[in-house]
Amino acid sequence: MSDSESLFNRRTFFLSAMGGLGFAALGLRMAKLQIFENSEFRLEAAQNQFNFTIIPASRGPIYDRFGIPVAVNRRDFRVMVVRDEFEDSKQLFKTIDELSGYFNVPYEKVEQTKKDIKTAPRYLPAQIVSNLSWEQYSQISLFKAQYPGVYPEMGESRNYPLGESFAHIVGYVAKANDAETKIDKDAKHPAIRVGKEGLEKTQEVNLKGTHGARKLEVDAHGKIVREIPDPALNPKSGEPIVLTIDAEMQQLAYEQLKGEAGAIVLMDVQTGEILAMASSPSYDPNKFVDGISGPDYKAYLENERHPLYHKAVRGNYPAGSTFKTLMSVAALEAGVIREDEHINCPGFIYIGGNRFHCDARRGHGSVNLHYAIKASCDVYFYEVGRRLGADKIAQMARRFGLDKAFDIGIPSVSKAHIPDPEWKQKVFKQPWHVTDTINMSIGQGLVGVTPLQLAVLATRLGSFGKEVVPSIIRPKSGIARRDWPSMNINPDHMKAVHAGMVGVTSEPGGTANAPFGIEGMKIAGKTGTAQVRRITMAERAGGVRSNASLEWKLRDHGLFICFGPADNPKYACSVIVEHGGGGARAAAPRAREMMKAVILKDPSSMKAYNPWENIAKKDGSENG
Amino acid sequence: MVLNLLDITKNEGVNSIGGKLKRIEWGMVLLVSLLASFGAVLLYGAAGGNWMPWALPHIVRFCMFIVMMIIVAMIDIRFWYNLAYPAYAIAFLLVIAVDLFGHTALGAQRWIAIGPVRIQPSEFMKISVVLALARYYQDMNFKNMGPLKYHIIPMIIALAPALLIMKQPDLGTGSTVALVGAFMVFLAGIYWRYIIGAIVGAISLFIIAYDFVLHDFQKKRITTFLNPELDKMGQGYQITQSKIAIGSGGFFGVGYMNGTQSQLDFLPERQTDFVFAMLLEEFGMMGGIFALVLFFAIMAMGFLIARSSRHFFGKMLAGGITILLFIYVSINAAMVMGLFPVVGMPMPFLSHGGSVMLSVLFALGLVQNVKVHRDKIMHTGFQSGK
Repeated sequence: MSDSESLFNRRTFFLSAMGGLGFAALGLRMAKLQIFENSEFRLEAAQNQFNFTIIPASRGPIYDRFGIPVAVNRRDFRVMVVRDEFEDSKQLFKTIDELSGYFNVPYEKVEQTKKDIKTAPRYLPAQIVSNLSWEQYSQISLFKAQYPGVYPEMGESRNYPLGESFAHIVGYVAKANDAETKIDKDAKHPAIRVGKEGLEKTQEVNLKGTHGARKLEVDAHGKIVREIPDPALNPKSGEPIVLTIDAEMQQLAYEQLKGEAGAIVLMDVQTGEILAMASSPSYDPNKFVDGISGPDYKAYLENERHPLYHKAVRGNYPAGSTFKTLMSVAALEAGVIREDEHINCPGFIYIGGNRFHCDARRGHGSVNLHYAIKASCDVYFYEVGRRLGADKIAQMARRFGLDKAFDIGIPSVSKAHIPDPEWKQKVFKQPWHVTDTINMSIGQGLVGVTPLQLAVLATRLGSFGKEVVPSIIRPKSGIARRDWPSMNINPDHMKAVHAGMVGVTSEPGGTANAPFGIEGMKIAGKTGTAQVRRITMAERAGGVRSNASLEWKLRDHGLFICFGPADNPKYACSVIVEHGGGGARAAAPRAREMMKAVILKDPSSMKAYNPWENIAKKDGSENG
Repeated sequence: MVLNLLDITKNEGVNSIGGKLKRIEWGMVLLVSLLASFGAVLLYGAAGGNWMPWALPHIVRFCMFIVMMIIVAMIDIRFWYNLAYPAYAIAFLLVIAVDLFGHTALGAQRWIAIGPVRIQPSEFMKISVVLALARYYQDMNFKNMGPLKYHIIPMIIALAPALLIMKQPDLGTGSTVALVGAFMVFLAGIYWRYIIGAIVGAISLFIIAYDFVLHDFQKKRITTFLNPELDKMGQGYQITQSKIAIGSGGFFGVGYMNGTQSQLDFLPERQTDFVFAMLLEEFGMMGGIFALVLFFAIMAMGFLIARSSRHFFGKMLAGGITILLFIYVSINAAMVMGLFPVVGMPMPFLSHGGSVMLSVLFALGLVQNVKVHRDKIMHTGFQSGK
C-alpha cells in the first residue's frame, strides 16, 4: 500500500470519525430539546394549539332587604371589532366610522374608542357601540358578512334601577384602569367591568364570580379548528348581596333631602341594621358603567354640594347640641351632677376668663337636666363640661361610637374625630385649653362626627346602652345579631336622658315640639345646630343675623337625632341638613317623617329576602 | 498489488452490463429507498393523510431518479472524468448567468429560466466542483500531496463559484461548495499545518465578512439564529416554532399525524426544509436517531467505496460526494434544531422537492460508479498499486 493511499485512508477515517461526532452532537441536541426540555416545549406547543377566549361571569346582583333589585345585569347587545382581522388601521377606522355613523354614536365616544383600540393589545376585541336594541342587533347580525372583523355580541351590562337613591351605597362599576388590570388580567376584556365605588368596589371579589373561557384549537393563522368543551372552564356567577336597606325607606330618605345637601341614616335599634342611608345630592351610577362623558363628570365635580361625596359616612360635621345627650349620660355616670340639680342660666357664663353665650339671649333661668336637654341650654352644659373635663367627655363619646370608623363594607368610612388634650397636642401642637372643653360640651369646636356615627349614638341611647354596631349587608344566615354587649350604664340615668329627649319632641318648650302624627306615640330626639361661622361680639350685641339672610355656605347645619317609639325604641334616625339653618326647622321635621314611615311599616318585623334559603330548600327537596 | 491486477484480468464480466449491475452497491440502494419511503410517509402525513400534493410526486421522482442513479453508475468512469472540466465550466457560466439575468425568488437570485425549465445552477455546481477537483487531483499524479502549492488551483476551483453563489445571495449553497472544496483538499493530503492555519483564517474571515460582505438579511439570520427570542414573529419565528415542534416530540414522538405544530401549520415549510423537525415531532428522538443512523450508514459506505477505488479520481469523487451528503444532512438537522442559521437547505430523501432529489441521487450514482469502476485503470496521473 502506497503512502498516499494510506494517507487517504487515514483521512477518510478521520472524516468518518468527525461525521460520527457531528451526528452524536446532533443526537445530544435532540436529547436536550426532546428529553430534558420536553415539558417546557410541550407547554409551548399547547399554547400555540389552544386559544382561550374569556366568557365573562355574570356579576352578582345586589338586593334590598326585601329582594328588590338595586344592582342587576341587563341583557346587552353590542358590536365589537377584532383588530387583528383588519389589514391596517385605516381600514379598521373606516369600519368604525361607518358603524358609528349607522348607530349614531356621538363623536366624542368614537374618538375614545379609537384611542382605546390603539393602546389595547391587538388580539383583544374592542367595543364600538353597546346598549343596542334587539332590532339593531338583528340588523347588524344580518349584515355581518359585509364587515369582516366585526362581531355583534350578546352580553350583560350592569344596571342600577334605583339609580341615585342607592348610588353612594352600591357605587358603580366601570372599565378597569391599568392598575386594576394588573391585578386581574381578565379585566382587560371589553365586556368586563370592575367595581369602582361603594359595595361594588369593596365586594368585588364576591360579586365578580369566576370568569369562564372557551377553549379553541387554532392553527397558525388563528383559524379555529374546533372547540374543546371543558366544563371546568364554565363561568361561575358572582355571589348575590342582600342589603339591610329597605328600598322604600331609602327612597323616602332620599326624597326628604331633595334640594338640600345632607344625609339621613335610619337604623334598627335592636339589630344595628341600617334601613336607610341617604346622601344628597346624589349622582346617577348608570352614567359611569360605559364611561361617563367629560361634561357630565365635570358637572358632578364642580357642584358645590358635592354629589359624588358620600356624606352619610364621610361627611364630618360638628355634632352641635345632639352631643348634649351623651354629655348628660357622662355627667350622671361620673356623678358630677344629680338629675334634680339646678344650674342657673343667665344667658352667659364666664369660664377661664372667657364669656360663653347661651342660645337663649336672656337665659333659661334655673334649669335641671330634663329642662336643659329639652330647651338645649348651653350654659348648663358649659358648667357640666367644666365639671367633667375633656377626657371624661371624650371617653363617653367613644363609648357611644363616635371617633370610630365602622366597617360596614363601604369604602372610605370616616372616623371623624373626638378631641382630647392628647389628640390636640399631637395634631395641632397646642396645649388643651379650658375653652376647648367648653366648646366640646355643646358639640362644637374640634368635635367632628358623621351622620352614621350620630345614628349609632341615637341607637345606643335608644337601646338603653347597648354596644350596637351598624351593618348594611345581611348575613347569609338571614339572622341579624341582637345580643349586643351592654355598655354598663345605669338604667336610671338612661331613663332621665330619654325623658329629656321626649321633652324635646313632645313638651312645651321642647326645641322640636310638634305633634308626631301617630296617636299615642312619641319619639325621643335631640336637635342640633352646628355653627359654621364664628359669631363676633359686635354681631352678638347688634343681634345675631338670621340664617335666611346669610349666604348658603355660611348658614348653620341643621342636625337631629332621634329614636322611637319613645317607650320601646325600635328605630333610630339621624338627619343632617348642610347649611339648612337650625336643627329644629331643617332636620327635625324630616326625621319625624322618616320615623313615622318606619314605625308604621315596621320593616324589621317583616320577613327579609334570603336567596341562600331558597337554594338550601331546593337542595333539600332534591334530596328528599 | 499484482494480485489485484490479476483480479481484474480474471473478472471478465467487469465491462458487461450484468457484471456492472453485480458490482453496484445494492445495500446503499436499499438504505436510500428506506429513507425515501420514510420521506413519503412524512409527506403523506404533512398533507393531512393525502398522497397529493407531496407524497406521490416524491415517490414518482424517487423511482425515476433511482433508475437514473443506476444508469449514472454504469456509464464508464472515463466519461465522467472527461466531463469533469466541461461540466464545471458550464456550471460556472450558469452561475454567472444567474447573477446577471437570474430571477429573484424570496429576495435571492437562484435560478434562471430556459423556456419552461428552471435551472438552479448552484445545485449543479456542488457536484461539478467535486468532479473537477477529483479530476484535478487525479491529474496531479504526485506521491506527496502535502505542499500547499498543489492545492492553490483546487481552492480557486471551489472558492470562485462559492463566492459567486453567496453573492446571489445563497449563503447555504455557497458555503456548502466552499466546505466541500475544503474537505476535499484535506482528503487529498495537504499538510496538517495548513489545515490548522485555514481554520484560524476562516474564523477571522467570518468576522470580517460579517462586517463588510454579508447582506443585511444574512446578518439578521445570524443574529436571529444566535438569539431567536429577539425576533419571535419574524426570522426567529421559524426557529422558535421548529424548536417547539422538536421539543414537544419527546423520545417516542407525539405520534404519526398527531403533531400539532406540523398539522396546525405552526411549523413553517414542514414539507421542505423543516421536514426533519416534523419527523422529530411525530416520531420523536427515536425516529431522528433512526434517520441519522441510515444516513451515517450511507456515508460509511461512501467512504469505504472511496477507499476501495484503485485510482485517485474514484477516491476523491466518492469521498467528495460523501462529504457533500454529510454537509447536507448535518446543516439541515442543525438548522431545524437551532444550531445553525436558517439557510435554504433541504434534507435529502425526506424533503419534498425535485431538484434536491435529482442532484443527490445523481451524486450517489457517481459514488456507485466509483464502486463499479474501482479497478478501472485510468491513464492519467498516479495509479494506486504501482
